[in-house]
Parts: sequence; structure tokens; C-alpha cells
Amino acid sequence: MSATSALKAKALLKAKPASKRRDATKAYCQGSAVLSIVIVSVILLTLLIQSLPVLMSGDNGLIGTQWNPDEGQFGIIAPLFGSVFVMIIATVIAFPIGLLTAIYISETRSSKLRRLIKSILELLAGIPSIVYGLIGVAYLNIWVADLFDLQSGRIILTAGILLGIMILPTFLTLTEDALSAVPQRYRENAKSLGMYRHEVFKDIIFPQAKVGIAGAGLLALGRALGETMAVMLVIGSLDRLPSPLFNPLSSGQTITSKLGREVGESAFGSVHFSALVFMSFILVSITIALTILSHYFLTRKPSDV
Amino acid sequence: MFKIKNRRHFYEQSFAFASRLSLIICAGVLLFLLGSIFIQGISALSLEFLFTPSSSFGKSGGIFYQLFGSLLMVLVAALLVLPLALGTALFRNSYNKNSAIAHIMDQSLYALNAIPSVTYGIFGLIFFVNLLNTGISWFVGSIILAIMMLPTVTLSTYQAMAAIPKIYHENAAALGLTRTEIVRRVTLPQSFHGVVTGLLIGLSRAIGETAPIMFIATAFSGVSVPQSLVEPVSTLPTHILELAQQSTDPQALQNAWGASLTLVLLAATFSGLALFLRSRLNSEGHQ
Amino acid sequence: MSDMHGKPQLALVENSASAEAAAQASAVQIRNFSAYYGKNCIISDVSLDLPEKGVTCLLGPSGTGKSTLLRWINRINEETENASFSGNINVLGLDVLEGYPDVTELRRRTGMVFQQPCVFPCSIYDNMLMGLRNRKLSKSEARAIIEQSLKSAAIWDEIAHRLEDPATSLSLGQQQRLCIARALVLKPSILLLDEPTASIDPVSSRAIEDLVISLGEDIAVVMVTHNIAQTKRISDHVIFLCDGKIVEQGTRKHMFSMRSCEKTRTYITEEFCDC
Repeated sequence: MSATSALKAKALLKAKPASKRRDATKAYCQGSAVLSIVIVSVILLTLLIQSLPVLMSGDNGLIGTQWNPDEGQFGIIAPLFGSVFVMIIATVIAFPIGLLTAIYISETRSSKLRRLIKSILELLAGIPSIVYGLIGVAYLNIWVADLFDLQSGRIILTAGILLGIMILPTFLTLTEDALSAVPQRYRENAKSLGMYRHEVFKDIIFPQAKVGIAGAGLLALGRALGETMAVMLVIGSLDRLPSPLFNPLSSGQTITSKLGREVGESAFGSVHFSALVFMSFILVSITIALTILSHYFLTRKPSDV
Repeated sequence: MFKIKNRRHFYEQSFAFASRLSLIICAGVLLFLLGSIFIQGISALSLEFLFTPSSSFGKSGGIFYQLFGSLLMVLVAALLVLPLALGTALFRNSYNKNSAIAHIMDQSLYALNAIPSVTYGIFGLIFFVNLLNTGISWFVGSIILAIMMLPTVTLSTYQAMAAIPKIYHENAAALGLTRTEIVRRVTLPQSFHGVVTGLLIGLSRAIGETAPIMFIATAFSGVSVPQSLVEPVSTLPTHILELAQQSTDPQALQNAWGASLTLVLLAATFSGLALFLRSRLNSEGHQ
Repeated sequence: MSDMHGKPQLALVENSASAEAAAQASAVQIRNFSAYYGKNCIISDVSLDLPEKGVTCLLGPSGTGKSTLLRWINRINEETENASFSGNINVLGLDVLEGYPDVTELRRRTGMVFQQPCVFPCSIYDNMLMGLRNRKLSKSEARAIIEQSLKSAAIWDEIAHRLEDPATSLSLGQQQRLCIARALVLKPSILLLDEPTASIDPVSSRAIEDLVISLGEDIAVVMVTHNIAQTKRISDHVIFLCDGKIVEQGTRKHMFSMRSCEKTRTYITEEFCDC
């Protein structure tokens, strides 16, 4: 609303006594806004407060690798490492394939094909994670077990592959948006200079789209870290660091799979429960940071680079 | 000179090959995912399957109460989130002139979007089930799902409001309407589609959520229609979870596929409606 | 076409023998060219030749397919959705489709500058380097070529001291001349200009016009324009297109004389065409 119309509205407000209903609408909107912000604060505060017991109880081995509730050992290192490891595998799978496919889609001249692919991606992103989990249990872990001749395919690698497939649509569609946001005239100008497509991409498109691609990547990382059901079903839930450390063929645990498995079993108010909440708090902090950073990247325009 | 040309050519060819290969991989994954869900699911799916209660711990029978529980929970969640999202978006669009507050609101919504689903479940367990002492309750599940839908619905509504041409507001203001009257006569009717689209997208996500509700709102078996707000229901996602953990049993797996297909179709219906609505409104906007 | 008067320097197709002779002397030969967007025919059955040197203006009202014609000469229109053409285009003796299996080869031989100045978001020097990328040149060689191109684009004196500045810091007129210079680093035999002065202030336009005239002394410059005064100032040859067809073509002298056909005269005096 422009300044003048706002002034007019104000003048009218003064001229006429404000009716009760009008105030009610405004109050309702203000109330809703306050409630929305309060909800976020309450969630974060609740997690923080419930994390305190484990933080204040001494000798709990929090920064350790041992997890043994009966002996009061609550080491968060193994699931934290598992989360990062699985995320890295998912990234290594999803990012190159997603980027290259996004390049293909953004270079295609057919807007019909683009719309079709975009709709399918939206559909894929809408498949519930529990269904991915079922596919992982029914197919993927058996294939992985056969491929590497293992007894069980419920290992870190399986979780990573499944997670890679799950974040692919999100990453792909946001990356494609970033590439398509670079105006067509840059492509035409570059190609009229006799540049090859890979040179056009490397020298012209990518420098302008990289911020958006980074945003897409961060958002996908956030999703990967927070994904629970699918990972929980295929990772094997083993509370130990893999040995050797970077062995993707061993079973493992991520923060989310740990939470999914154990929250229901731990008693509310116990140190055990508090340790799980603390893990969740760490997870939330990371994913919120990643998402806010990614929004900062995604909302910048190519010209700001 | 020739060598160099060959090298550039080689890069060009590999670049084209790699991007085509990636597209084929993506298409393959897509076909595999949709194919396995449909082929496995369609053999389990029937009217009988949809309308029979499950028996012997889900291995036989249908998914009637799971379907009912899922729909009940997400539809109530949608009813809960609607007024809150509408009010928040209206405030952001029509009343708030302070950019710092707008920034805080945006960041809060992004943060809500970023919170992993399992964390919502833990929050619900602490805050409602234990502190407010509701016990396992489907209504708490609805509240949590409503909170999860809040960013989607609010942002969709807000975007629809922001897209209303300024000239409408200015004309309405010039006619002597107050800000609240403008809200009621211009902003709300013009942005109604944003609310509906946001709700549909929110519904399509919420109905597949497992982690937020599995500690606080569901029971696996032995429940039918809840008689009060504080009783558990059973839902499709948690049903699939239980069955997936017995994946060595072909009968359980069969039912899991049937429930999965039902769930995917429900989610696709909601998001398909949203897409349809969006594209129809877009094409009207162009005319 | 047979109602052409005067002594056109543009070779016209009358029989195959003279067509072959024309192929020797012309930079671009277009035969039975029709262009489509989807099923819409935007330009139909056009045949023309562009001489090896001099400025040829494609003149006509907006929407008559001048740009489309130009954009097919270096196949940049392949980037546009649903665009297709039929007929033959021959650039420097080779068919654009069969003669150039690697389209970048065609585009390196034909520089192109578009209506809207489009500098890449990097330094002026890097902008100039884009066309030379991956060509093994020593730094001093590259610098020499760039300096020479900037000089022939008559912009060297203005920007010689700030080559490392971002190209976007230049004025629009300077940006457009930079685009021309950028196209010149590859020493193209043909320069395609798609209304290069349309989005630029009059003073810079004049600078670009002078530049186009001097470039026309060495290479073939093809310029799309709907500006009649500009055509009169800079062209050696004029091809007047309207509604997807060539109305008349000839030397500037001919086209701006009383001997040109009635439609041309009407357009030139009243800027109106009833096709």
C-alpha cells in the first residue's frame, strides 16, 4: 500500500469511530502472528530445557562413543558421525546426478518437457518417507547385501543411497530453478561467440547460478540430516562407530534413527530421555542453520552476485 | 590447433554424455520407484482391502481404520492450521509495516520448515503428552501436524496476498475503505486460492508423516473410531512402519505395499488438486 | 524481383550459373528460406545474397521476421523453442546445417550482437577473453588481439585504463560496443547485428553507426533495423522486408531514390506498410 493510501486510511480511521468488529480483525491477525512466533520459541525452549538434565549430570560421557543407558553412558559421537557419514554418501550420489540432470533440463528448448519433468519431480518429492523406507527394506537392502556379499544389507551405504534418492528431487528442481533464472540472452551471447555448451555452463551460467545451487544444496543437506523413517529402517541401528571409521558397509546409527528407535522406550524425565532430547536439539540447530542459510542464498537474485 | 580442437570437442561430448546419462539414471530411478509402488500395491489393493479392518496384527484384513485415522488426523490438522495461517499471513501482508518484525516472522516460518519431523514428535511427547498430560491422543497428533503445515500454508497464503496488484488496495483506499475493510473485501477474496493451495500441499505432506505422530498419537492395533480427543488412532504411515519391520513375512509385506499405494495416491490427490488449482488460476491470470 | 532497376550490387538469382558465380562473391546465400515457430510461418520463401563486404540493412516494420532470418544465419535460433526453418542457408560457401557439423565453428566465423547489450558479469578483459577461451594463446598474444578488437570497436581509448573493472560498470552504449568488440576477437568474416542501437541513447547510437560503417569496409555486416534514418546513414545495401517477404532489395542509392518501387517509397517516407 502506498504512503498516500495509508494516510487516507488513517484519516478515515480518525474520522469514523472504529467499530468493534474492525478491531477484532486486527487483533485476530496480531494474535495469530504472535502465536506463530511463540510456537517456534516454545519448541526450541522445550527442547533446550529438556536437554538440561543430561548436560548437568556429570560423568555421562556425552562427548564420547559409548552409548549405554544402564551404565549412564550417553555418547553422542557415534550417531552424530553416522548422520554426517550418511549425509555425505547421499550428497555424493545426489549432487552430481542432480546437477547434470538440471543442466540437461534447463538447456532443453521444450517448455512442455520442462513442465512435465517438474511435475513428476513434485510427485516424487511427495512420496512419504515411510514408503521410501519400505522400498529400501523390500529391495535396496537385499540388492546391496547380494552385491557386497553381506549377511544383511542394513548398512550405512544402503541408508546413504536411499537418502540420496530421496533428496534428489528437491535438489534437482531447485538447481534447475537456479539455472533457468539466468536469462536466456547470456546463453545466446555466449553461444554466438562460438563457445561450446560446457564452456557456456562453466564460464557463464554457473558463476551466475552458483549461489542458487548452493542454496539448493544446503536445503537438501538439511532434509538429509532430518530424514528419519527411511534411514531408520535400513541403517541397522548399531550404536558404534564403524570400524574402520569410514567403512560404509558396516551397520550404523544416525541421530534421527536413534531418536526414532529409542524415544518411545525411554522414560520421560530420565537422563536417558534427556540425552535423546539433547541430540534432537543439536540436530535442530544444524538443520535450522542450514535452512536459513539456504533461504538467504536462494532469495538472492543472479544480478546480486 | 587440431589437438586443441579435439580436446574441446572431447569435453563437449563427455559433457553431453554425462548430462544425458544422468537424465537416464533419474528416469530409471523414477520408473523403479513408481513402478514398484504401483505394481506391488495394485495387487494388494481392492475395495475390500480399503473397507475391512486389519486383523492378526495387520498381516491380514484391510486398512479401514488406518485410512480413517489418517484422514481424521490430517483433516482436523487442516482445520486447526487454517485460522492461524490466515491470520499470520494477513498480519504480515496488511498490518505489519515493521521490516524487523517481518524478518523475524519469515525466519520463524523457515525454522519451522527446517525442524526435522522426528523432533516434532519429541516436542509433542514432552509438551502435550507429558507436561499437559494428555496421554497418547490423536488430537495432539493433529495439533503437531497443524504446526508442521503452518509454514507451507502461511507462505502460500502470503504469496497470494502479495501478488494482488497494489492498484486494488489503492482504489479501495481511495473509496474510503479502512484497512480492515480492505482486508475483508479485497485481500481475503483475492487470496483465497492461496489458502486452498497451501492447505492441499500441506495435507499431501502431512498425511505421509510418520515420525511426528508415532510417539504421541497412534496405536498399532486394537483401535477403531476414537470416542474422545485423547484416544489413539491407527494411521497408514505407522501401519506401514510396523509391517515393514516384518518384511520377511510376505503377507505383511503385501499389505504394506497396499497401504503404501493408498498413501501415495492420497498424497498425490492432494498435491494434484493443488497443482490443478494453481495452473488453472495462472492461466486465468494471463487472460 | 524482376522489377529491379539500376545496377544492383546484390547478385540476384536468375539462373544456376549466376547463382554459382554469386556463391563465390557472397558471404551468405539464402535460398527458398522459410522460418517457422511451431506451425506459424513467420517468413516464407525468401532468397537473397549478402555481399562479402559492406553494410547490408534488413529494413522493415517490427514482426516481419528480420531478426528470425538473421538468427538463423548462425543457427542461434536453435536456442528458441519450436523454431525451425526450411530452405538453404549457405555461409562462406558451406551449408549451415551440413557444412558445419560443429555449430561452434559456424558461430566463430560469424560474430553476433543482440538488441540488448549483454556483458557477462565479469571483468571487461574476461569478457573479451570468452571467445578466445581454450585457444592456446600466450598472454601477450591474447592481449594484442583484445587490444586490436577494442580499437576496431572504437572503445579502446575509453576503457584501456580499466580493463579489470567489472563490465557491468560501463554505460549501456559502452556495453554494446564492448559486445561488438567481443564478437570481433575471433575475426569473423560476417557480423550479424540485431538492432544493436534500439536500446541505446542517440549519442552512443551514432558512435555505433560510425563503427558499423568502418567495419563494413573489411567484412560483411548484416544489420537488422526498423530505423529508416539510420539505414539511410549507414547502409550500402538495403533489403526491405515486409510481412515475411522481400519487397525490394538494392543499393542504398536505389532504395532511397524515386526509382524504388511504390511500397518501398511509401515505407521510407511514411514509415507505413500495408502488407
